Amino acid sequence: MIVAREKTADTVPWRDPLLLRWLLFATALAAAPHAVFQPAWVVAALAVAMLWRWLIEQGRLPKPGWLVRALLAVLLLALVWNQYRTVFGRDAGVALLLVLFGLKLVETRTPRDYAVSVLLLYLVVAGGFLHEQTPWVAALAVLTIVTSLVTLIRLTQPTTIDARRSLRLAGALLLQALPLMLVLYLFFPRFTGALWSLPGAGGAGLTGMSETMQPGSLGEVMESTEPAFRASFRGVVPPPEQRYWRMLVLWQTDGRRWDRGALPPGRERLTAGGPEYRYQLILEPNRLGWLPVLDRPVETPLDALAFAGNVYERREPTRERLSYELSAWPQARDRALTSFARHAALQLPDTLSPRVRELAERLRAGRDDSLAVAQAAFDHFRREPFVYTLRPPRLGTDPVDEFLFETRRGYCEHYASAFVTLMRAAGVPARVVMGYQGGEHNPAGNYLLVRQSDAHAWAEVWDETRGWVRVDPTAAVAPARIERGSEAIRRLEASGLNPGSLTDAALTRAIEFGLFERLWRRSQLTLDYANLAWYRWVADYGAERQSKLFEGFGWPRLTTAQLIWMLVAAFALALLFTLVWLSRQRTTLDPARRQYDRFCRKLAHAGLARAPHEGPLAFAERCSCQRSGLATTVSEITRMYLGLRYGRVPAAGLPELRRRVADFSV
Amino acid sequence: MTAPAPRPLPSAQSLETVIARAGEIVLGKTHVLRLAFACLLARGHLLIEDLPGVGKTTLAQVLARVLGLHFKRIQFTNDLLPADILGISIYQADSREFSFHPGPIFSQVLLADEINRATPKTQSALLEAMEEHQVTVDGVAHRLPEPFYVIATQNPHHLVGTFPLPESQLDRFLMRLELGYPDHQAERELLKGRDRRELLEALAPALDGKALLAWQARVVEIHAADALLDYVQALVEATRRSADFSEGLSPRAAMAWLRAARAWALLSGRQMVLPDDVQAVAVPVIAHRLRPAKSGEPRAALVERLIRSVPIP
Repeated sequence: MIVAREKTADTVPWRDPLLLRWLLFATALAAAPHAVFQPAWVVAALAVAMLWRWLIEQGRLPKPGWLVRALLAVLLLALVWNQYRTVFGRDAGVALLLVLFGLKLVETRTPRDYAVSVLLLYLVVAGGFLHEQTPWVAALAVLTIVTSLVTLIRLTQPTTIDARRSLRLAGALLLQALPLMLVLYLFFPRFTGALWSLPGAGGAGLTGMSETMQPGSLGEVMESTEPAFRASFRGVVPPPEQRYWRMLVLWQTDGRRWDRGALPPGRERLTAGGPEYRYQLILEPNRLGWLPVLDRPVETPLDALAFAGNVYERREPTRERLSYELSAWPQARDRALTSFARHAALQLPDTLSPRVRELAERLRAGRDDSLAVAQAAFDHFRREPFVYTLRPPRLGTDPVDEFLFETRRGYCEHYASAFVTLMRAAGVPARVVMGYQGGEHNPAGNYLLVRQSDAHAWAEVWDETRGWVRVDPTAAVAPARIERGSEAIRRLEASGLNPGSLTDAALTRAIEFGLFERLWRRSQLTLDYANLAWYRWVADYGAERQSKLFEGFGWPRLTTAQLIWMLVAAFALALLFTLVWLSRQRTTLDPARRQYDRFCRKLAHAGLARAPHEGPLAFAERCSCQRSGLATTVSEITRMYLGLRYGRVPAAGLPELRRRVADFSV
Repeated sequence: MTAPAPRPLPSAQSLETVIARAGEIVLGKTHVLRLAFACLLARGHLLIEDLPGVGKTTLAQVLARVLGLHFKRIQFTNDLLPADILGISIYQADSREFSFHPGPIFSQVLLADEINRATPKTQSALLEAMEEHQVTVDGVAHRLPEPFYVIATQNPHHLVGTFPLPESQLDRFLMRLELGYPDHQAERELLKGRDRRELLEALAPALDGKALLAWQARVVEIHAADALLDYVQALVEATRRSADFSEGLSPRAAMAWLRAARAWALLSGRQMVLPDDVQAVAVPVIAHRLRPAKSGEPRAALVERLIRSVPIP
């Protein structure tokens, strides 16, 4: 009786010595994503709270009193207010949650505190998703949930269990939750719009092209290897020389700067023909509302507005990833050129230099077909010592003139700008197209990865029979740029070679990758694919995909309310089954034991709670010691119960026990 | 066990007399004495472990004497040989035969004093005899008398010059008891009273071997209900699950535990085992069979923690 007599039910419940370590570990994991998005002091406050709690556990710091805690709460609230001027909304709300969670951590002591802390931790984890729903945040969330489960397991396990066993148990719990998670994921109602409007990320930090073009404007964009978009094709992937992604068309120039001009919205009528490339495009956020489409589009993507030149703009800049499906018809024909568009495509700056005009006239002489004129200009670029370089000399007030006759060094936008100016001067309607050219084929997911560095500008000239024809003057100077991509050009540039002057074999040698570089690139591509897959299957799963899924099951289109009712009904059903099952379990309980439990409950109401491990005799004795008035009754009921439950001849005295317990009152 | 004992058996009185008489010499240790008697009732060997001078040997002698058993004592030393315990076959020149000269083990109670001073070889010779209740010398098996008990005493391991018993051999002892210092009043009486050895000489047996065997037979009849077995199993499983111990209890240990609980119930005058009985004998029965995962933690505290962690079903 040493055991039961000395330790009674009201001593502090036993606790796992490693419990706090697990909770702090889970906290650190949950806070990790916030460290990126929240101001440093918020995360620091949480870290200080963790350290503080740790020192309290070590006995090196005292527990803070309620006054200290209250003052701290007010201080933290004020700090959050100072940072955000509000305590509501995403950022301020999450900051408040983090700092107050730290405070809760400091006062965590009883098992109940631990349980509450873990539940709050789940809110912190959910808060991480408000910023970003990327795979790494999700991976951290899963890790956090595993560690928090370990915390809960260690909290509720009666004895210390080792780390491996608790981790295995947590893993098993998580796996068991997986079906439920999938059901909720697939069937939980999705909303077409955003549920709440998150503050936009703004244009800061985003690279991408601008809506105008002037010498050097694309240079910055082309330095960036950030992905611009990814396109996966249904069927054949177009060859490199077909990979022209148009984004916007520039009509108007003042000699230096090109812009969209004043053409009103309206689509150009195209006759589809030739091969079709069907693709899904996933666009990264950028500063513009313009959508890149593969040459040449016939339909309008999403809810965008079509503009002359088969370009499409949405009302809002692309702040979040966007995906759309479209077809490209490289051999599609235009039907006619409106007089308005023709006028715009012949617009020239007043400051056009005589030298340019003279060159245009020379190109025009003797050729009546506009394509022949374009070919002559193309040949001119090839024949004359033009150099493709990403680091051209700066150009002055008349860049076209300077570029054509003096510097002769530049990249796509210089060539496109000069070429279109020449065409117009020669009387051929022409326009500048901006977008992307190329894209790296990712074998891991069979899609094209187009980076910002693939940004490109080229020209289109109007031919009366064939419509708008793409002419890329850059190809005349540096075919490698078109055939081998911007990455190859950058490598050549770095090695100081002129891409235009190299033979094919020399080019191949110059841009060949070493083994490690290849492996590195390969792993980068695989990573990129993982990122894309995550987006497609997890982050992009919205109302539209959900209803598509339901259609796949052959279900009718369900409204949000119907979905919610279905879910509620399903859960109610599951709950009912569990209850029935639990009550079945209950009936197997020994009847004498049930009476004894009733008896114990009555005593517990009087402040005499039996600990689960306390032997009935020891408990009876404790009751008699604390309430001598109860001694006889308690010992009699205990004796009857023990005889029924542990004796050789049970069941005889059960009605008597039931009566005695019913009559018993404290 | 001071809890209300429902209708004590008439003859349980004689057991109470035994304990009371032993208590006249071993002062202030009623609980330990009861446990020791429970151990002997459950046919278990007893290991008494404590510092020198707290009365280990006296307790062992009192137990033998008060039960009226034939008693021999061996002081274990590091040069003790197995033959010194078991006996030896000697060639008799006159009869031209080997004849067996039984060693001190051929008694009803063998007091193995300071068992951990002997070498493992000698220890294991003794431990075999404990398990089999027989001794084999030169291929001839010799039965030991019934009842047969080994009461061993040992010093805590950290004392110099000892060979600690391994867990597998500790398992042969049903209980390991610690005496601890006497309380204030008991010590005063010790100081005032006569020499313990003289008292021991004068101690009259309260029982004899036959009566003890009869009591042993009754231990087996004590009822252990399914509900109780559930509890024992839950406890045993908890030892296997707990990270406090490097390994759990063996089925043999579980059986020993139940046997000890039965004996405890009989001593308390009951014919059924209660969870309280299982708890009462827990520390003496299982503490020496479990190895703490982390050294330095007191086993008794770990066992108590274990008991507190398992709800009674």
